Amino acid sequence: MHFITVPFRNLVNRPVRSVLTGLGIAVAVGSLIALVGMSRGLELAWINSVSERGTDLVAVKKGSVEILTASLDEGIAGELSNLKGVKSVAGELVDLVQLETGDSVLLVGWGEGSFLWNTLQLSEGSLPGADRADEVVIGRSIAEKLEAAPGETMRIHNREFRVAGIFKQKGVMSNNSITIPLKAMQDLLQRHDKVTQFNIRIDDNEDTRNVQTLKGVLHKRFAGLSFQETGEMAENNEILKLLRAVVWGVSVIALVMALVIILNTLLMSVTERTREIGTLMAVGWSKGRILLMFVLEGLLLSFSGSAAGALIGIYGLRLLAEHPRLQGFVEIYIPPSLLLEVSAAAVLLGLLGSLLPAWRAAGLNTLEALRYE
Amino acid sequence: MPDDSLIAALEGVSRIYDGGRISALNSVTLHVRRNEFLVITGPSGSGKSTLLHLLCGLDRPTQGRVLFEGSEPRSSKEWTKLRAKRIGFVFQSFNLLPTLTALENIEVPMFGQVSLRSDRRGRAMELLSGMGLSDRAGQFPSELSGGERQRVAIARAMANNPDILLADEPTGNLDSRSSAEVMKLLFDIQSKSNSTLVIVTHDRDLAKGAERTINIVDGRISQPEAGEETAACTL
Repeated sequence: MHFITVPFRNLVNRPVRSVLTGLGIAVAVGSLIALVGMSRGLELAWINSVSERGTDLVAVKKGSVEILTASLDEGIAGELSNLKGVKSVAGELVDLVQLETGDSVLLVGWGEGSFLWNTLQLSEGSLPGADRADEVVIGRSIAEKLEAAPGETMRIHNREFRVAGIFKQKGVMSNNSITIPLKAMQDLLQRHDKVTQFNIRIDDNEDTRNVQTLKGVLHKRFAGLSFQETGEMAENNEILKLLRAVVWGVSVIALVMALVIILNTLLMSVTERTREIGTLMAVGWSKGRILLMFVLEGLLLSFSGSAAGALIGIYGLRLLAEHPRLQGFVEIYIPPSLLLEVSAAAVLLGLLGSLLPAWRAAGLNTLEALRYE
Repeated sequence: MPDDSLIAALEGVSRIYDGGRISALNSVTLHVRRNEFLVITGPSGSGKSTLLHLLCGLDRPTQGRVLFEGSEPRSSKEWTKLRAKRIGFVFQSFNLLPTLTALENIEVPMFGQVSLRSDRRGRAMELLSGMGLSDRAGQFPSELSGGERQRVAIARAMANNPDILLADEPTGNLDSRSSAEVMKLLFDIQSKSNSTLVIVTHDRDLAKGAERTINIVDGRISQPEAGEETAACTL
């Protein structure tokens, strides 16, 4: 018999309680994986959609919490373009709109001749014609949802548009967007000469150090703008920061609940097995060995619960990503670092949840424990 | 100068509970000789179990000294080590772990003493065979009879080859046939292993065959009856 057999049998001998405790841990860990995975998936979806445009820097309005509603003068693009090191600048208007089907999609407006049009991977049809303000190109996910094909029409904000083409990008967020000529979008939303952000490409011969230098120059020249590299965008975004805080808050609550469940289960176990503990002490088990037995019980509970929780979390994240409100905005992304964090949380849960009961068991008076009825 | 012939001793030991209201033992002096078979008898509540608990450090005296091989273990840690290596204990109510099989129960005291799993298993199997229970190795305590359970408990007490085996009313929960079997087993163990055996019982018939019997009444060792000795006589 291995030593671990003793705590293992203790758990197996009380199957209902052990399974319920494991389930409590699984739900907590599953929530952690699904929520953190969703938050990171959202960031990734955004980063992917921006990075596949070949954008080096994005300029947004400084201090704006919700960049979709922020407005910048379209004319700033000209001033930005004139700076040394800047290769090209493309203004972009972005908004979240609801289609007649009830689906929320990103509506993106790009100026005529913008380099952004060249980044679209058309799978069907063509780009909107130069003089066609009533044409759009739509992402693959939307085309599938609406069962739309090039040449058909669709309504956005009560206005009819013709689908010129369908594109398929790598990022889920891009595939859940509709791209429209900038002027048409400004007319549609009554946001004339306004854009949400500027996409900046820098000269090919500029190295990383010079990107930082250029950022410094840009920040000095345009005090009202914030210049961010693609990776920084998600990190600095206030909405995502808020989402991360909420996710961690909810996760911590779930983990604390799991901790209380482990504590309760093991404390009950100590009370029920007081006589057994007395016997173990009487046959020469040290306090350390008794302590170890309960810690191992806690760890077995937390590890088995966490393993089940990982499955729940992965499945839960898939469900979340397919939810109509989130579909097209979240990449299913569970990085190894998240699984490492969950494993660490499981060890911590097992340890913290078992230490008090283990300490209590090891501190029992042998004779009193043997007499316990 | 410690007496090498003694394995354990109580010297002027008193044990008082409940802030002085209950006096379980009163100035008891008892010397347990190496390799002897000692039976402690007395009516219920006389203090004989308390005496046994003091001998193995499960309880501590209110007054007096408890010695093991001439020295006085000071801490519960020292007593734990002694119980793990040198002292075996058999309970009246067996106290087997219900979640472990007969064989596994015997292995329990060997954790920390026998490092290899195969050695633990081998030793446990050997002991179980010695108890005539090799065919019951995989049974859980709930699947064993009272006599079988006590035999497993004796095997567990012998797991680390102790120098002294203490048995507290080992036949108290058994029928007469099982009691006779268990007592015979204990006699055999003592004679074959040449270890010290101390049995506490209220059944004076079971004391037959013991080298020495002492009687406790009201927490004191009483005067010897015919063919009996008191602890004082050994001094």
